[in-house]
Amino acid sequence: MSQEEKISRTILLIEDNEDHAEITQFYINEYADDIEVIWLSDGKIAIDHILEINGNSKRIYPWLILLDINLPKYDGHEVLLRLKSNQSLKEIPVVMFTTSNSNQDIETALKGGANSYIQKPIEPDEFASTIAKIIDYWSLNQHEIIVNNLNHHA
Amino acid sequence: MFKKLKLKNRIYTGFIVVGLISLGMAVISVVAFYYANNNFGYLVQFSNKSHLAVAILRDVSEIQRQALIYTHEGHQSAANRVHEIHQRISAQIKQESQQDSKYFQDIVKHLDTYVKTFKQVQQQRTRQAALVHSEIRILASEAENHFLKHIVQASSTADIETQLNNQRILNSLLQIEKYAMRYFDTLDSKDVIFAKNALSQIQKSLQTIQKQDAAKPVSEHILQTIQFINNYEQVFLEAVQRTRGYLFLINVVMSAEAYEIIYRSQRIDRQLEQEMNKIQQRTLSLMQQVIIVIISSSIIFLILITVFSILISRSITIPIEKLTATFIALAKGSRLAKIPDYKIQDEIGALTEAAVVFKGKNKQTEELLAQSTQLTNDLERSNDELEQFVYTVSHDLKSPLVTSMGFIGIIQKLAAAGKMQDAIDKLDRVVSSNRRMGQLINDLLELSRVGRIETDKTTIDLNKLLESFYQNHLNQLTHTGFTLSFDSTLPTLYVNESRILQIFENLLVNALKYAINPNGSVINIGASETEEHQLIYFKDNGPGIAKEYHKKIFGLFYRLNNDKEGTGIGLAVAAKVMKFHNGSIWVESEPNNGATFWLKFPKINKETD
Amino acid sequence: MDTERRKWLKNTGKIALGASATLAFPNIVKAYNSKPTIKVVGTHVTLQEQLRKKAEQDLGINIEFYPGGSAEVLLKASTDPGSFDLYEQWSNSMNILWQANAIQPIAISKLKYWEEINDLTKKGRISANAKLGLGDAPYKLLYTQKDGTLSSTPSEHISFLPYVHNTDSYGYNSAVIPQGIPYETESWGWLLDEKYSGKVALVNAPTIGLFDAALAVQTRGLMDFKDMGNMSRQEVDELFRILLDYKKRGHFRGVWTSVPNSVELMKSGEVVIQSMFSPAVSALKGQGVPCIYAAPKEGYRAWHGVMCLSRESMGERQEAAYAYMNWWLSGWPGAFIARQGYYISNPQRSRQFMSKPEWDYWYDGKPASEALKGTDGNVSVLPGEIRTGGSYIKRFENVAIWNTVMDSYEYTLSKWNEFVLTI
Repeated sequence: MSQEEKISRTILLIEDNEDHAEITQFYINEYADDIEVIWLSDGKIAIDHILEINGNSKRIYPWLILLDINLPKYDGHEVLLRLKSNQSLKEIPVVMFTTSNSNQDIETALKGGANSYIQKPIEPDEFASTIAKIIDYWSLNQHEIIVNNLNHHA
Repeated sequence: MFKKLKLKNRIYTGFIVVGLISLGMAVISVVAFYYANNNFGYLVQFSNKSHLAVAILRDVSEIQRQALIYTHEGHQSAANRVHEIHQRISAQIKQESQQDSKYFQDIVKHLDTYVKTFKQVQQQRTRQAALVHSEIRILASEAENHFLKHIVQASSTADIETQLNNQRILNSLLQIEKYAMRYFDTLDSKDVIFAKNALSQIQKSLQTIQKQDAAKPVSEHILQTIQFINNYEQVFLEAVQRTRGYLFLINVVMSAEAYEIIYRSQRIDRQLEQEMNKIQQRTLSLMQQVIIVIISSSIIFLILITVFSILISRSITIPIEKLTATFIALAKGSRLAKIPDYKIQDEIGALTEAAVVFKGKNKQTEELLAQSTQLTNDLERSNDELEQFVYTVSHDLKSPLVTSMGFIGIIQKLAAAGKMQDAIDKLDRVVSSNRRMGQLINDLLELSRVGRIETDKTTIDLNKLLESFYQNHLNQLTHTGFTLSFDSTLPTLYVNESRILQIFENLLVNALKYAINPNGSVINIGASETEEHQLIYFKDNGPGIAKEYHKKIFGLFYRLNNDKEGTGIGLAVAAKVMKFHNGSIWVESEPNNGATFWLKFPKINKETD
Repeated sequence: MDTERRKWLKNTGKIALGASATLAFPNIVKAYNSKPTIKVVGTHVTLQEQLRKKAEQDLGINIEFYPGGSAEVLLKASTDPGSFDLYEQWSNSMNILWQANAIQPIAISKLKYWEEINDLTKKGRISANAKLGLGDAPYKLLYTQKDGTLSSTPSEHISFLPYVHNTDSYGYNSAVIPQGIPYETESWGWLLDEKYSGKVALVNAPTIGLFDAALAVQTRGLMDFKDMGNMSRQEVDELFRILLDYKKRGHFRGVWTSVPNSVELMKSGEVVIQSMFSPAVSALKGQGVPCIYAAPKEGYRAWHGVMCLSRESMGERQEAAYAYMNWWLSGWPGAFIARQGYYISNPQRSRQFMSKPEWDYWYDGKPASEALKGTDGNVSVLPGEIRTGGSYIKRFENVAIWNTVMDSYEYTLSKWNEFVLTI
């Protein structure tokens, strides 16, 4: 199989903390080695990439977006809103990452359209299991729908 | 006027005054009616007396008439009438007049004299009647008889002359009787003289006869005749005297008395009429006066009541109304309610003072409320800040912890998978993140130490301060290629030296990190001022800061760029220090046009707390 | 007085020793306690208490006065002579008394002072050029005649003792009516002057007041009288018609019946002019009312007091009566009554009992040189005053009429009644 065929799921990770991104990536790959993790630290750039790719170069069809709430430039909520208001992007499930579990953030996130949310855990095993759960949750079928959607509305 | 009168007293006074006026009017009315009543009483009295006077007038005429009838006719009934009338008048007078009126007393006196005289008249007349009607006749007839007998006796011996003489005498006797009786009818005294003359004549004649017959034995009859004739003369004269007597009494004495009674009665009547008129006039004018008085006093009364009501309302009800409005407003919490002016020291005055106090308390309350709101706001803000702080802290502190534990997990997995080298390589990450956590905690502590610093304030010359600051960071500056310049006319500030240094320190650190200009990074420090503040600026020519981040950068642990070192606490500390200097810090910047950080200090002479 | 008593003793031999002793020896009078009592009937004019007391004192006898109004007195005297010894009245009642045979002639021989009595009563004129007044002039009634009539022909007996007399006129209040000139402006006509309407009074006696009115009427020319002293019935009718007219118009306040009555009328102001008797004038002056006794130019109305002896007065009572009569002319009583304005028939004897100023004023018509007091003790004459009418002589030279009982007397009575009662 070619590399393209082999990689069936793409997770877009929008995170500004390099360490956290690395950890997340490690655990994702440790759990499912067929997932490609694309890491972007800037929310705006991330959105452009998705849409941009639709136009010209290599397209990304994220099967899941992991979004950190605290981003330096574009706020996490902002990004979320952008994603969910875009017709072609809104089907993409978004899971919010936080370091706190303030109710306000959770509410805002879910109201904003986040499909789920997780708190960055401190326990190492927990991080792994959390990632595992997320991955399992979103089925492969979902991916097709998303792809179609993306193609339809591109 | 009535400074210390209590309300109650004033009202009572008013009522008393009103009551007194009413009482006065009532008294006037009563007195007036009393007088009127009196006057009417007098009128009645006078009327009765007048009535009596008129009755007396009438009765006196009647009494005199009856008296005259009695005198002329001798009717006993007339005499009785006289006494009857006298009784009646006396009784009436006694009943009516009692003590007053001298006139009535006089009338009674005259009346008594009148009746006394009348009694004499009665006496005389009775006697006279007796004399005239019986005695005279008897004597006359006796005389005639005896003479006749004598004539008879002497007829035999008498010559014609003697017989003629005797006849003449007899005729004379008859004449005398005629004259006498005529007198009592006509009351012409000539008849008395005739009678008397005739009697004298007869007496002379009889004397002559007696002497003639001196030789012969004197006829018994002649003697008798003479006797009787003498008696007759006596009786006749007596009767005449009595007649004249009672005529005089009734015509002169009694009529004078009667006239006096009439005169006095008339006087009484006239006087009474005058008196009654006077009383009528007086009563009328009195009633008029009273009516006028009552009407005018009613008017005055009404005016007084009106005035009084006005006074009361002015002095009591209006103040009460005003005060009520004031209190209502005050109860609603107003501190601007107008308190009406009230100078009298009574209950309303007390209320007014209370209102003033109330107002004051309201003001106090409002101020306290404001203070409390302020404090609450401050507290809320503090709480918010605190929350924010806690959130920020927990979030920022948590992040390195996640990193640390995350990598520890990875190390475990790698180690478990046998990738020992990879695992050991990851240890550096754990160390650095822990280190970072330690930094963060230190910076937090540092921030917390920025507390109240009034006591540590001193007057510092900024020029000197920055001079030494420049020297201290010279190496760093040259190393990084930054140029630092500052104005020479920097002011003196009354500040905490170390803290101010800290601000500059942090600003410099940030500038060195973020305000890099490829064409040469320059930092400039200068000063400006307003009326109340001193302004210091820290200007760079770096890439600038987008507007949306102008506030955020002063947030705790906020970093625009996570690449560089640092915990993002520098500006937060600066902000806190400025806050405690009662000043502020902010940034002015546009992308690609550098950034200017402003520090605002209140001027030293202003003692604001 | 002692000689007088001895005369009595001579004349009245019958008198019991005891009785005469009481007369002769006053001392025994008291011891015996039975003095003779004489009763005197008369008017207030002469029956004054002061006179009685003095007489009793001087004579040593009991004197009882029975004063009364003249009519009353006259009646009593004429019908009951036994009730009095002496009768004092006016000459106008002489005829009545004489006709009534009530009085006895007085013996001139028993009168001590007969010679001193002046000619007024004896001859009718006080002096040669005196007028003879109309009416009952007393001289016409003085002497008793044998035929039982009274006339001026002298005889041994007189019907009355001449003593008190006077000229009367009217009095007026000079504070209201301006003083007139005696015999010139003063006139009887003033009584009918309309000016004084309502304030005029007459004396209530047809034998006196009527003549005042008649004189007034005549002098005003309202009517003429043939003989005012003896008016006919027609004249009486006419006179009364005039008077009634005046009375109806309220001209007369009325008539007065006594001297005090007349005083009261003028004093109270009810009348300002009226018939008056002299003592009333004195009394008013003494009470401060300036009353003037007019001297009318027509002449006075004169009157003469008469003292008559009762027919029944006999014996010692008669003697006592004569004593009283003589006492009256003994001087003191004359002086007494002079101070009341009356004259006495023998004034010379009374002169010694009067002070010179008194004599000058009362009898000589000279101005009073000092204030003179009346018998009541009050001043009745102020210094400088002259008695109106002048002297005694002058006054009695001007008598117009005497108080008179006319033949038409009874007629005048009923007319007078009408006059009095007319309102």
